[in-house]
Amino acid sequence: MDFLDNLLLGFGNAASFENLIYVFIGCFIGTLIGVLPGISPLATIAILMPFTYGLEPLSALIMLSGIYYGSQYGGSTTAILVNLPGESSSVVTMLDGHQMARKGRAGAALAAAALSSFFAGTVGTLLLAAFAAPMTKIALSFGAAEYFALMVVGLLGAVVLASGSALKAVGMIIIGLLFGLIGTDVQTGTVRFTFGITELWDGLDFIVVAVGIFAFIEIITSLEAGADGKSGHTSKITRLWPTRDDFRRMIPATLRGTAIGSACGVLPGAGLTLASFFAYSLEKKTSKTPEKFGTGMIEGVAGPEAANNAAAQTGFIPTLTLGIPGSATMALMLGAMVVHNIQPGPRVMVSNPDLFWGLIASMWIGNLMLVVLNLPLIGMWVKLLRIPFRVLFPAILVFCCIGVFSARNAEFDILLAAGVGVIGYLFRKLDCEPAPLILGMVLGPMLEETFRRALLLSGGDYSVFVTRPISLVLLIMAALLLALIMLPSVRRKREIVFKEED
Amino acid sequence: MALGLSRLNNKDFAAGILYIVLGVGFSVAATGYKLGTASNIGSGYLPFWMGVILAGLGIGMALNALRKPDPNAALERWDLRRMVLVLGSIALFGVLVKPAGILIATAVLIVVASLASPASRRKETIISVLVLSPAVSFGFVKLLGMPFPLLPSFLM
Repeated sequence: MDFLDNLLLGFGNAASFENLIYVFIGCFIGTLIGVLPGISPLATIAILMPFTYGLEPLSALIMLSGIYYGSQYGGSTTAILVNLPGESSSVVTMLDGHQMARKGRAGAALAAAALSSFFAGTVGTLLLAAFAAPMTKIALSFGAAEYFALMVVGLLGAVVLASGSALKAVGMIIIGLLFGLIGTDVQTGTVRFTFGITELWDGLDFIVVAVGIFAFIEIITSLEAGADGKSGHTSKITRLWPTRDDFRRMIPATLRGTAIGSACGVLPGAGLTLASFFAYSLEKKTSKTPEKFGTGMIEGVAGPEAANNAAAQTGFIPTLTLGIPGSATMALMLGAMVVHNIQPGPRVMVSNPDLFWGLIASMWIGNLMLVVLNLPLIGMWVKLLRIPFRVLFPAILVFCCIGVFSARNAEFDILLAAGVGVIGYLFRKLDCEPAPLILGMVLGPMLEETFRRALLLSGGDYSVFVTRPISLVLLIMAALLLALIMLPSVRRKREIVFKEED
Repeated sequence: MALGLSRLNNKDFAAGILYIVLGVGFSVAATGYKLGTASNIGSGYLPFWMGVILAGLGIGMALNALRKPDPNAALERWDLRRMVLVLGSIALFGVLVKPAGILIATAVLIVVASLASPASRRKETIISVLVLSPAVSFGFVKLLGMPFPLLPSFLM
């Protein structure tokens, strides 16, 4: 059994004492960030990534992914106890979770969230392990033309489900691609778009852009929304373990949520927020008492929590096997791999099997740790919620500065990040989503390289993209996606979906 | 009246204009690099065409917004004070950290950033500075060996 051998190899690597510590640190920071509202896991990963450059590649990736899925657990705690979404993916959890808390059933809601998340995380990890090998096999047969087409599909797919205007988001992708091309063109040695600034010759670091456009803007936006003035009122936790009846209702909801979430995770751009939203509407539809939703239904907690956690795991499938990130967070993970000299793509599994399977195994270990971190330690997280945002945000800014600096040991990057912040604020005020920009930025150089190589191999014949069957199918998919965005009926539906989500 | 100012006061219209400016800017700059031939793509080729597509999108968005402006997309006010204080505190840190050292740079960042929050209290800010500034300096410079000076060079 290859599958078992691979998992064993993975557990062998992930369960080393050192790596267990990094799983723990990642999950701990992730939960912390998830609990605290006002800063997203994406921004956190961007801030902390430079600090992992000195680690072994496996340890670094283990820790960064721990932050990612850990934040999903933490976010639900805040949603249930304080009625604030710690993360955007736990907005739906608030609806019934907080109502349960107000009825004195905070403990049951927290346990439902943690247990369904754990179950979904386990299934998601298994799916990732099971699909990795066949996906990789397919991807290995891809040439430059197929890769180019795949990237186009991935980028457009990320937009179809992004909130707001799709045309705007396509524009943001292109701006990201162009930002990604700033600096020296490796193939010709030409220095592009640096405006005479020598510090830009090595390119615009994606950490600088991610911190400037996400972390700084999130803080400014939270301040504008008055997050600094609010004080958290937290509900009391009494009985932690759900009743027998709770379990009877939770289990089918968890199963449905896991299925929806796993599917959403693989789709580019669908992401965690949409996964939990879909799961919530499904629970409402299948329930015999849909009118009771919003009054503290445990299904409304278990389903969405399972969904966002399953999606957090299966989102790694396209990222790890194809090298195509489905979300901005996954784009950052790809960036981290590049920094550690691992070329993302199907070859990772062949050339770095211990890293590949170790990372997957670590996710299951991490999910287990999170149950332990979250349930018994809940009191500690609740105390943390009492730190007011007005004290917290200057500290976050200090970490941002040091993180941005340490990516390349350049003070110039700190100034650059502040400058990017101004652009980010402009985008924010025009409702231009920054996530597609990061996606485009990370993929920009890869897109150019595959485009060039495909045309070089075909001797300058553009038909190469449509005469190769896989490439043709992918490009037709891309065209369909684009047409789908333009259709007025789809546009209206999208608007409804996102209105409800807000 | 058909093209009143109110029609221009629209996020989608403004974003369209922004895309046109950026697209044209990148395309024009890209013509300064070799466009190359199809079998040997130059450095300017992809940026040039992406700039063209971006500008095209921008034109589409701007026209769309003029024809059917979304009533909920009026431009928002900029909270310049907050933006300048938050981003300024970052820039100050970047400027100060080498000449003045990390202790002072961190303290300046915390004080300036705190000004951005009307809810912040002087006492809390002072405590933050007294706790964070030495902790960060010690942690990152002494423990992790980051190349920041602790204090201004004339004091070392």
